[in-house]
Amino acid sequence: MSDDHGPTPVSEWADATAADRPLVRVRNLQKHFDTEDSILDRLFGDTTNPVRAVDGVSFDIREGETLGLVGESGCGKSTTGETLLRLLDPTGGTVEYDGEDLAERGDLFSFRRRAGVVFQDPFSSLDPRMTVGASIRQPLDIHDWPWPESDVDTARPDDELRRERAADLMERVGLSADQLDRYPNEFSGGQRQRVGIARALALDPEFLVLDEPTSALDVSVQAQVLNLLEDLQDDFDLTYLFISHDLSVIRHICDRVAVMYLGEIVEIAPTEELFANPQHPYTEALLESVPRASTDERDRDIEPLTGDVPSPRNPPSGCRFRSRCPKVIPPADLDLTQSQYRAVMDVRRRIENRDVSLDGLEPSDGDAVEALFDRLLEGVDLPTSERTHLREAFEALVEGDFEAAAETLRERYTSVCERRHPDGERAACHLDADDVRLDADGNGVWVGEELDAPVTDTDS
Amino acid sequence: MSEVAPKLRIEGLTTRFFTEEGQINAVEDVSFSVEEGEVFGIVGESGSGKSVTALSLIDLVERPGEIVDGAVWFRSPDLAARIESDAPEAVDGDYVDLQSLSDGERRALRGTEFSTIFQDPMSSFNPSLTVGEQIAEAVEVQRRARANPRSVRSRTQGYGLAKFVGDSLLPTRDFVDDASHDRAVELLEMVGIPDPAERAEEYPHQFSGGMLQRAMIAQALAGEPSMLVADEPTTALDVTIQAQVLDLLAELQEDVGMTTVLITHNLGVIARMADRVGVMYAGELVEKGTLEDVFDDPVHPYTKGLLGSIPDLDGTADRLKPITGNVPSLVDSEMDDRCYFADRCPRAMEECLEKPPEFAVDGEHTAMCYLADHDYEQADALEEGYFDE
Repeated sequence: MSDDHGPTPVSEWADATAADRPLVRVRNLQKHFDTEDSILDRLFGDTTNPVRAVDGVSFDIREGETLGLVGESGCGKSTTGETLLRLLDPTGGTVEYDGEDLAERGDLFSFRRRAGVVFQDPFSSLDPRMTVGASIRQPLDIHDWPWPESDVDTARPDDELRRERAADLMERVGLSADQLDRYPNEFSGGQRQRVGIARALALDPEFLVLDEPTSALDVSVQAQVLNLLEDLQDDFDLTYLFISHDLSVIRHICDRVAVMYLGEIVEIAPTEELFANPQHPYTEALLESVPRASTDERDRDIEPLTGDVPSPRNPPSGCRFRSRCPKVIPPADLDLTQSQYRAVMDVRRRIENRDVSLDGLEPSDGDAVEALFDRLLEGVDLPTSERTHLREAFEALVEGDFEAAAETLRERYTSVCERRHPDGERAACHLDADDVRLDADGNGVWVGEELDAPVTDTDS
Repeated sequence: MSEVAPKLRIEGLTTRFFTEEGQINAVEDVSFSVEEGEVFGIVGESGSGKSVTALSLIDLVERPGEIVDGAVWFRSPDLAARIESDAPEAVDGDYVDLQSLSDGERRALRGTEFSTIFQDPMSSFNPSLTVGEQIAEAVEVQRRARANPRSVRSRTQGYGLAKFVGDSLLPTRDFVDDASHDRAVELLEMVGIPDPAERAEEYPHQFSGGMLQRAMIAQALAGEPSMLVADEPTTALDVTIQAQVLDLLAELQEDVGMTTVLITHNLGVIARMADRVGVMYAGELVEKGTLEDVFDDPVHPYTKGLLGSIPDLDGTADRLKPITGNVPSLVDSEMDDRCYFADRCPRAMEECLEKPPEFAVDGEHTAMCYLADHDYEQADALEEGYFDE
């Protein structure tokens, strides 16, 4: 197998500019979820591929900064956060926290003091049978606070001190200390999220993973919580990993942003740069898709992405975004526009997946091939040279020979995007590569060496 | 636009829920009109009553909820002429009042005249029937409804012993015929589903969220309705898929010229789709006007607060200006008869303790706020902490 799969050695792009040692250093982090196949399944060879939720991500988080992790549902951003904190065991890669590899630690007890988490859903992340005060002081009890270094009068009874600290935290997050003995159901969503934040702050951590902390909240309350998070960061010198699907929130709160797609980071850059000048076609599409709350919105032309996110059980080879990418790079000698090339690639994919209906087509019928053109490439006007090539494939297809048809198409239309895993300083995209010639519209053509023998999508 | 009579006139719509905790005023005296062919957007936070307003429009409010007052006038000259003699109270010129129609008449309107798209496509389809079959069923029902408005039946009607005996004795018969099935495939193609003929044979779980939402739009269009109520049609979808679905809706809107009521909490979606906008807060329509009126020139402090709360994607405000406090409870006994926003309003005045009427700002732009009538007077300001107890 080529370099398409497995942990890809991402060059040290993530921390190229960091002079000081980052607080968190993630390298090739991987989390695959294996479905539990029964013995019978294995006996009959009926096993499924693991879900590659996080597949080799690398990034650094520097002290005091907020790194945003943005992507659509199912791209692995929450799993990244949880694996990073060791709430899930990684299946590969390393996480170094403050210079120390977490995998080499015997236990994570003291690490838990230093790193906390706030979850998305304030309705299910608090125990309904515990008062919020009890929820907030639970970590204090578990970690036997106060510690010798704590700045409190340790002569006083622990119980009193802990209760006092819980009350302080309540006030710090904008709740009133006399609400300590109430139960979560007496609070609104925004208030509960504040309780969740207070609990995460109880042990005075230096690093917080905020997993969609405002997604369940209404906009007016979301703004309150975002402001609170910013204040807390200043007051307690916190470092955040902020996970969200909401680009406007990310832009507001983050210093740097990593964009995830299907288990991989496709672009990482300082916020302003990423938003002003996105390099990866996916980042570009994502930014373009968000409807703006302004009266100019209706006149803004957007070109929405086609198709759906592929399954993380069987991601596309090479660049994972290529199946939806509006800028797939064609080989050099084709006489096709970008959209024509896309159409041909879509046909190829359907043939490879045997997703073409041959109903009503007789091999003996001379019009069968034409009928296939109508069926598969309706409205696409192709130049004669490419038509000849497609005709050859369709002739095989009419005979029912999907494999030969796919092979014919692969020979001519293979893109660098499916052959090689992209890698880059900032964006993981072949458009940056030296062997790609760009035209005025930003579309590229591959002019490098011949690509090695074609493989199908399905043998990953 | 205003020369043509509006498609829909909602007057004093009031919907309440009678629960164990007490009476909940979900929708309170809401009035607006929707012009032919336009998109009217209703925006508000959770609990503002926007979804109940949608359900009230199409009369799908279920117990313990009840529409207690108001009328939904729907322009349908043919129907008005037909039922005028039977039910004069339900007719006003070309308009019929959906509330006072008989159940049968009202059911005949659903799908053929107005149709709905709901938020969650995953739970809106029957998981045990193929998508094609469900859309074909809608086509079939609509077709039969047009042929004879008084006999609209769906296959799910009829239960119990009689149905069981009937089903066992009579030869099984497909509910949908081939023509309806073909139409279903056409509809799937129209909403941009690739290989519609094959996808029609698949079950909802085989569809992705975006695809299923498209299928639901196809189903809603089955009866070629003249009006569409879309309740958070893209909320369950990712942004790239949301962009696809919004594009599709805008395209269909242009082709078919459907009148649409779009309900969402997302101001961006409103900005992209709506011609006119109503802002809901605590069951009331606090401000309405054209998109430009409401977005560029808001009067009500709640509208301003809402617009100020969203982080800007194209520029960075240093700090967000959130609305303080929380969305109020809608339980009747806990609501004072005042401007419901006064306790969160940075510019609350003495007179806000009395409910403001709807003031005209200019043209169609109206707001339920005294600031629409006269400027803010520092001297009349409520003292800070007035509502704290």
